[in-house]
Amino acid sequence: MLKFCLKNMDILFSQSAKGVICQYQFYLERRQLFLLTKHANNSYSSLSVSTHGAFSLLRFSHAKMLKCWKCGVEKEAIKEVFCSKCNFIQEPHDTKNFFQLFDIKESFDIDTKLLTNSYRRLQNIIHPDKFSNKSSEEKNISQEYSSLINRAYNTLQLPLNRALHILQLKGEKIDEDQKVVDTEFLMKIMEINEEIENAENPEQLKMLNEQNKRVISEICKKISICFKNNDIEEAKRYIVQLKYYNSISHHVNGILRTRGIVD
Amino acid sequence: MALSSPSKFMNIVQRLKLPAAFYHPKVIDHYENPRNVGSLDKSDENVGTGLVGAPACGDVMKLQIKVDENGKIVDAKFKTFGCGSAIASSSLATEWVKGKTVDEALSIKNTDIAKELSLPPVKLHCSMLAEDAIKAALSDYRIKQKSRTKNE
Repeated sequence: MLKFCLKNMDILFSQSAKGVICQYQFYLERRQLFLLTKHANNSYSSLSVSTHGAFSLLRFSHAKMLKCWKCGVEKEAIKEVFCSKCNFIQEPHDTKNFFQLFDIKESFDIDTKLLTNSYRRLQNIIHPDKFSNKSSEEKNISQEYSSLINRAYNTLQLPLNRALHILQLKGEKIDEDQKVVDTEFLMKIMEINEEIENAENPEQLKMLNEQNKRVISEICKKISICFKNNDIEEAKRYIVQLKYYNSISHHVNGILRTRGIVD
Repeated sequence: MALSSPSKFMNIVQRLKLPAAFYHPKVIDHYENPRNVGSLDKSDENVGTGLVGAPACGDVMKLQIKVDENGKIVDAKFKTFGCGSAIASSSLATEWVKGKTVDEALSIKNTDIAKELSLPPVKLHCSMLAEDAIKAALSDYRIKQKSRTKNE
């Protein structure tokens, strides 16, 4: 495989238009092969190499510096938040993969406690409030880092967004013009929405909300199985269903809120 | 940049109020006073029902037409659970199909709906959904008519 990678390097870097390459090396991280390149202008880039030996240019990121931007010392670990030598804040090591950002396993069934802990721990050390007396570079990094992990946390917390993020990482997405041909399913969605609209008392609304929550958790279980079996098409089908039940949830919660009903 | 003067602050406040202005007045009009909301009898032979959904946003739209013996659409009803643009698109669609013949109704394009409502690019799929709903309702009606002539 290495041979294959090396053979393809020329093609790759003529595409990347980054100039002369000085050094390159492969490294393994989380069972994934990365190619680290030092460019002529002393910048670094890293990209993932898929198991087929094809380079995925999607993950090509020049921001992934392996040296501290401040003191120039090589980092011991790519995930360092602060330089081990000068203790200056570093740019996030991965801006695309939110699981990597929080250092948790890339899976649909995540431990939300672990996620929250990791989020709080990170936010605790990189929050812009901690950098009010620091240089503008540090402030900027802290602001970007902080907003990135906010976005990442919100994405991973909700099952629908998490599933969509996993799809995105796999280079897949739900197409906007993908038609739903299952009229029976649409009829069911229509009926539930009508039921919500016609519900007269808060108890009925709450009951419908509970019922919807149960359906959502059932679908989540199915999505989880699909991802485990790497059955992406089937996963997509359930994610679309999840979208509909999610909008039902918005609908019922919207009515509950406007009527001032809270649990 | 710091908020050094009250006028700057007001500027931002006014900008924050803007979201309502992202929708064209026609969309807001259809959203607030939707035309032809409701249902027609699904089992009626002269009624065609179209039920479509947009997987990207989880919207669901039902559009029904009632056709008289001359092939003219005499009534249309819709029910949409979704965003303002989807509601406005389907509301407008029912207005437009009324009084048209089945063939004329087929010629309604999503681009016409989008143009009339000045939909932004991100909302174009709502007008596409409305076009699909019209087509689905018309094809449902045609299937019903075909099976009726067969039975006769």
